[in-house]
Amino acid sequence: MRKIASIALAFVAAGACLVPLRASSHREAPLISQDPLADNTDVYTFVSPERPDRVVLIADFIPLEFPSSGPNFWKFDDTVLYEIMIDNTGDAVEDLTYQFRFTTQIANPNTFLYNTGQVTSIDDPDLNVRQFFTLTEVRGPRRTGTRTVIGQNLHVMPANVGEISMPNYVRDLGSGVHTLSTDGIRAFAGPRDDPFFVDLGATFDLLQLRTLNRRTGPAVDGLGNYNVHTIALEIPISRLTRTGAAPSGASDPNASIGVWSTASRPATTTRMAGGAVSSGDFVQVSRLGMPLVNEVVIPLGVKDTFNGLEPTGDGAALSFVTNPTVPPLLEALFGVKTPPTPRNDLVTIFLTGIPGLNQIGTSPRPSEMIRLNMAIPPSRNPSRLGLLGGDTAGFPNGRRPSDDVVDIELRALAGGTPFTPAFNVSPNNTLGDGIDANDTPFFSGFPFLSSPHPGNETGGPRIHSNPGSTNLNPSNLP
Amino acid sequence: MNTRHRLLFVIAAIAGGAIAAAIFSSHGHRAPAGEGRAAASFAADALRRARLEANGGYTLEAERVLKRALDYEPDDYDAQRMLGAVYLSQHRFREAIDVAKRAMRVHPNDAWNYGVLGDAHVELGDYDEAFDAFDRMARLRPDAAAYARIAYARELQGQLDAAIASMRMAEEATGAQDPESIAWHYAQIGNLLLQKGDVEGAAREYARAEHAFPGHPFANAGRGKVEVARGQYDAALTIYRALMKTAPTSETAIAIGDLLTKKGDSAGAEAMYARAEAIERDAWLTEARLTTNVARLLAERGVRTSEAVQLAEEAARHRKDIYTMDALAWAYYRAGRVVDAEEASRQARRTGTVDRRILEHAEVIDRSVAMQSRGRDTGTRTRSSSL
Repeated sequence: MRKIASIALAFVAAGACLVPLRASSHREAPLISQDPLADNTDVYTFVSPERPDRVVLIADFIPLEFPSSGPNFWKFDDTVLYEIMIDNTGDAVEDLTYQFRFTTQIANPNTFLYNTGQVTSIDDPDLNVRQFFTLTEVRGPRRTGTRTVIGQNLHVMPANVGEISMPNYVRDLGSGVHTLSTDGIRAFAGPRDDPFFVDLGATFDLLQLRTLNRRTGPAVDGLGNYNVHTIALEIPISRLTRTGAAPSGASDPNASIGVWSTASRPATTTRMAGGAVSSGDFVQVSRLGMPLVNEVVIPLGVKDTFNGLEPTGDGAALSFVTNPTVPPLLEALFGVKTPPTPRNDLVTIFLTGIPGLNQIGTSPRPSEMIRLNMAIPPSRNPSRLGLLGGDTAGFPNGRRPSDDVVDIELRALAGGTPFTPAFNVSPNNTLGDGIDANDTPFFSGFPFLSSPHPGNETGGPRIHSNPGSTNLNPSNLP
Repeated sequence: MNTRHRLLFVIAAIAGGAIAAAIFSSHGHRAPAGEGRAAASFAADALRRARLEANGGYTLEAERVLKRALDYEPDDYDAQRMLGAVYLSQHRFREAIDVAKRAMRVHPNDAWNYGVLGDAHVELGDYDEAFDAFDRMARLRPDAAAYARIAYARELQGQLDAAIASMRMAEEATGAQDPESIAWHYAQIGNLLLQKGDVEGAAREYARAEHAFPGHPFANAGRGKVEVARGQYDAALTIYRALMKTAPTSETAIAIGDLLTKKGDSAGAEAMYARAEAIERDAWLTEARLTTNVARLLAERGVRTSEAVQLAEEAARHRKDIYTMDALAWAYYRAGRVVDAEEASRQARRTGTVDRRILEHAEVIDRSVAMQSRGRDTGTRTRSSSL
């Protein structure tokens, strides 16, 4: 720490007395490209509590969207292929894919303004920048399977610019939900409140888990007030199974699916013939299934490789799961005794599914995806701790927005689960970051995630601490 | 790349945990994890400020901070790979290549290193190596950084429409969190449109850049070029003079000099050309001594011709990029060495560039060669007929 401080001070001191020195001109393009537009943040999948014969699939992109990001408001990237994949056979190969492609239309190219006046409807001519999406279903492998366009020219919900530009975002602009002619599938795309909740600040401060260390006051949701961009679908269960029929019960081998999401960018080269720009192929640049696996389990040096992998290649990452890095940190920081390696319990939770709950088939290929048993009905009284809270309809059986995956995974990494009974004791099974719910109530119906925070939210940043908002508040309709 | 909040959360957790472990174990002779990352972050900011203020002093500070981190932890990957970018900005291209290749041995699939490698080879004129590196970068990680490099490769090959399309992809791929990069991309699109002669299209892109990041020097430089193209010399002078106060470059000084020449103010023009040369020579304090721009300046003006040749030849010993070869060609031409000029000009055109200055120089040189050749033929015929 002292050395970091000395480097920082050296830089600040140097900068303070920096004498301008001329630089010869050169034109290096920026090298740092965080690529948030093609950056998966979270995937959710659960049986809809609103229509229990249907499953909801949600993928979020673009992390840490500050609502007042004007004049460059966030939007989906027209060149990116956004996808949600479903494996219903357990071979780690997608059997169904839902592809979202976006196009941007600018009504008046002579102004750079996002809106040229007050916007009071989704068709308001004062909304200058609009996005539309096309939804394609692919049966079979996503690049070679049978493609069917099931929705076209579907409008994307715009940025919630602020209360002057958009006096009533929800009432005036609508829900953004499209009901398609194909099986009554419902689709949504647009900005939403980031449903993830975590005490980000305290975590940066030497992993100060407040369940163990209460010296630094109440936990604060570091993602409160931030938005993400969401693609969401609500699809009949029968459409997602391998047989095309709804499962007969939770033990039906047809009942479970695996879900993950990716973002891919067009391949291009310096020497394409005829001045063409892209070959039309796509390169996968981001991937997400189970929350925190990419981040907690996969080492930094191989993250890009992992992001480009198909789930069939996940066997190569097995050792990162059986020998995870976080449990030794928990031991070093807090003296929490954790199970010995190899951690086959984590392989079950994260890579193969739990037998009798959400394992797909009898010998699934280890791969990183969220597994959901679609025959388990939604809970009438959801527990934020999901399965650890006795709620089989919750994480890791699928993932609902209200599931507290930080606490659940911390406990799982510490061995505080029934898989490792000797370690399923306090503090292992009480670990948590102190943020138990989202800063904004979720809708009780599709697309469930709350409206985006407005750009001109007044009163400065709102601090969100526990007790959090209620989950799936029935009175809070989209 | 999932550099997102959960990633940050976990990086913090892991880095924080490692730091804590080092402290708690109280035998941490090695530098704590994360130090190189902090230094790399400082360096990234410094490089951006160097770009915005045209101030090479920031790159020196970036180098110092990174090397200090590497003193503590020589194998720190983040600091190592960022050092390659710093060397690039200092025109220390061969050192950048060395750093990139070392980093590749550690992480062969990190697209960043191919960006550094390709940038360095482009500057040295090793275009096959450069384009290979950019292609590899784009295969590993197609994103704004890769698309912008693909665009430059297309521009070098004279494919302006494809270059514009790639640069638009780069702009599209840049998030709202980075308005400076958004502006940079718009300005590059403007430059490409200007090359195509689309002045009003370029003006629109520069205006977008200004809207995204008010005061961006590349946007202002572009606005100046647009006013020149429109014949609005006073407006251009106002823009350029303001730019010289915030981000002085030799190009801007030369542009002012050229405008003053048009207005008949030769003394003022000479002062600006001298300023441009001084800027370039000052840059050698913070960067490698690359003499291309001074050679070009002298050759364009037709002054100190032998010095122009000497400086251009010095540059060409280190790099064979098309702009250096063009400077060499024009210096030779000014010195009356037309045959040498022709060969250098051929080298300057070898990528298929449609750069207007390179092609104008080439046309004059080719005409001159043709005239010399006709003169020789005429002389031969005259001699023959007199036999």
